[in-house]
Amino acid sequence: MERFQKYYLSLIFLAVYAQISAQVNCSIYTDENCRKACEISNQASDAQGYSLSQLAFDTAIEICPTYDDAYFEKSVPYLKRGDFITWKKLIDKAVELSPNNHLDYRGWCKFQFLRDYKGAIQDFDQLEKYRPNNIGYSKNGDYNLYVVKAICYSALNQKNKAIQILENLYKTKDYHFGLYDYYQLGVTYFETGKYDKALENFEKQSKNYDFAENIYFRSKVSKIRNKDYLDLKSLALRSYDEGKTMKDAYTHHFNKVYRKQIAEL
Amino acid sequence: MDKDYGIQYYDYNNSNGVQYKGEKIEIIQVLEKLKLSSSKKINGYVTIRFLVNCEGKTGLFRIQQMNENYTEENLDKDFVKKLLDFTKSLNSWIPKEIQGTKLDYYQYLTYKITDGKVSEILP
Repeated sequence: MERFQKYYLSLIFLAVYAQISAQVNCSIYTDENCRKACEISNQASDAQGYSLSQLAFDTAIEICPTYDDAYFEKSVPYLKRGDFITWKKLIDKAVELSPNNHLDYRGWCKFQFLRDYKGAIQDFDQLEKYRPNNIGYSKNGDYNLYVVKAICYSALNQKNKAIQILENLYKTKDYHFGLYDYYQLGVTYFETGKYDKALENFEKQSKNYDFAENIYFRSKVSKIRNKDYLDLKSLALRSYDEGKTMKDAYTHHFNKVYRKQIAEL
Repeated sequence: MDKDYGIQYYDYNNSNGVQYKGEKIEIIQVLEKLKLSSSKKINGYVTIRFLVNCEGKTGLFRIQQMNENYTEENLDKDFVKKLLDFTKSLNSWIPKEIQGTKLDYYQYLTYKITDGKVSEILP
């Protein structure tokens, strides 16, 4: 029983932790039903994934069918459990009601959960009409969505386009660099055979935050150039074992490198 | 742990990805060696969701198929059966653990199908 309680409490803690930033200010709704729907939705989002929470979103939708966040919140557990058909129907409804607020999330999820590169680019392009020059950040906070858009072009083998987007973005005044920004540009250069530019970016990355994958690519460039790469390889493996790798709670990062790949270098 | 309380999706292992011996790359490489493909040039996604119990054994397999437009569609019965058999053959799942207690959890694998071949394995 005690074991179960601990487990249950951990689940609640995680649910609250994951959703703590998702609370909507309900006072902005002048319609009483929609304000109530907002309050119900806020409360239900604290217990994400539980059936009572999902039923509460249904109630919110029933009393205010135009309340977009209830559709969005209801969609999330389906996404995380791999029921992408149900997720898509619900998130599409949220996007239809409020594209400005939900296209970022839909585009990010198309990329991160389904590697639907073209679908993600379409959403980001559509979002730009509502938010010119600032389409926001990925849900996990790791990327500016323009970086994700560039990654999508890279995955579609439009490497030069990806490089152009990233180079221009990084020159933007007051640009806030994400956790893996230089790494992603470095890998894209690497894939086009531009090792000087690749290394330049991996070095910049290492000054912000160094991790196993970034060290692995520096080692790889050294090996290609017939230079000593074994120290870097050892460092990459050590970093990997210390947990300094690209991490995500639900999926795997684009351009993630696994321990086995580093060991086989 | 009763299956009804299996972990649904939160990662209790410090975001270390799919909990499989040799990591996700192991699954990718084993599948590559099998060279599975469909006789039809299909595009879409096959998601197989299952339970990993506290001993690392799998069961309760469920399949969802959809086309590129996220609409339910049966892709290629024989190919999907091969993917299901492959998923069932994976036998190195690592049980999740909280404070020394091993727990059941749900896992899914999504196979992105491009021109009749698996182009990505997710998550």
